[in-house]
Amino acid sequence: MRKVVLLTIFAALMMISSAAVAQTTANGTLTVTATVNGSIQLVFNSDAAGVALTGSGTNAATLAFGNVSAFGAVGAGVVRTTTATNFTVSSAVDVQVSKTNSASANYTLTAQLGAADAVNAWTVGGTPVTNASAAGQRNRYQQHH
Amino acid sequence: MRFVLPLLLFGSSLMTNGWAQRKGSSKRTSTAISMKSETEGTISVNFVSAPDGAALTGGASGQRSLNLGTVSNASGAQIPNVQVQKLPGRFVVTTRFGMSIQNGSQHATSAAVLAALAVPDTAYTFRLDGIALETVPQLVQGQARIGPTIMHRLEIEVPTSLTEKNSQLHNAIIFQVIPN
Repeated sequence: MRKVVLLTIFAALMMISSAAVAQTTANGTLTVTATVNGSIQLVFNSDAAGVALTGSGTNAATLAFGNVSAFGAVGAGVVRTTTATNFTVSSAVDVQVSKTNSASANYTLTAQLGAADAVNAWTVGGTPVTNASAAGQRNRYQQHH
Repeated sequence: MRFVLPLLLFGSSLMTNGWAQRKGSSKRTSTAISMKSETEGTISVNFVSAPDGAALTGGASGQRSLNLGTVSNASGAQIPNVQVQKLPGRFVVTTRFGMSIQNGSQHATSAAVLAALAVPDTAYTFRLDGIALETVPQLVQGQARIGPTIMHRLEIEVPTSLTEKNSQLHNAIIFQVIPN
């Protein structure tokens, strides 16, 4: 009988205890969705051996060769080769391409002249470029040209 | 036994009429149902779109969806009021939303707000008002005022090392509000 009484008291206390801690709460659910797209970014950097770019570190830089001639002085970073019939000026320029959120290992870099040039021949990385169409080559990320 | 039975009856009355059941409620089908009715009838959570946040869509006021659209490190966000901040090795997508706590009959003027992620997410980091969220509820506000809409800032940190495999972000934030 004594055990029954003790058990009953314990049960009653448990009920009171659970009632005391019971409290009203409210729940809300906010579902969140998004799609992360991969992206690549290109910037031009001045090359240590080339002409200093205006706007280096951006995707809209300017490379100014300055005054060039077959035999006169040329600016810093300008390399000149002269033959009997023509001369070529060139400068190293770095193109940095970085990727985010993509498993892609390579990219294709193409170049195209902004306007037709009937007098001079242009090359980028050894590839002839005109204003007619983009020409380029496949590269790995973070390569410099 | 003569003394125990009244004690049991007293305890039982605390369980039903004292705390766990709404006064005057005509539903007396079971204790469990009555407790649920109490929960829903006295306090509730409502989500609303923030003026400077992404639009919430769908569902009841306490169960809304927040679609942040397409985001990328280079192009940012595509939908209004979603910001993208570039950081080394990651970018952070941010928006705001409003949440209000309504209290029908109780006298509490403030409540504790806890938040947790519905499912673990190892790819993205969710932060609510600067507090990193996990599947274990985190205290977001200890004394949130009941009544007015309070704006919250949601940030999702996206490592730039994630690839197309993890491009779909889908989770839910479960809020729990406990009156003080």
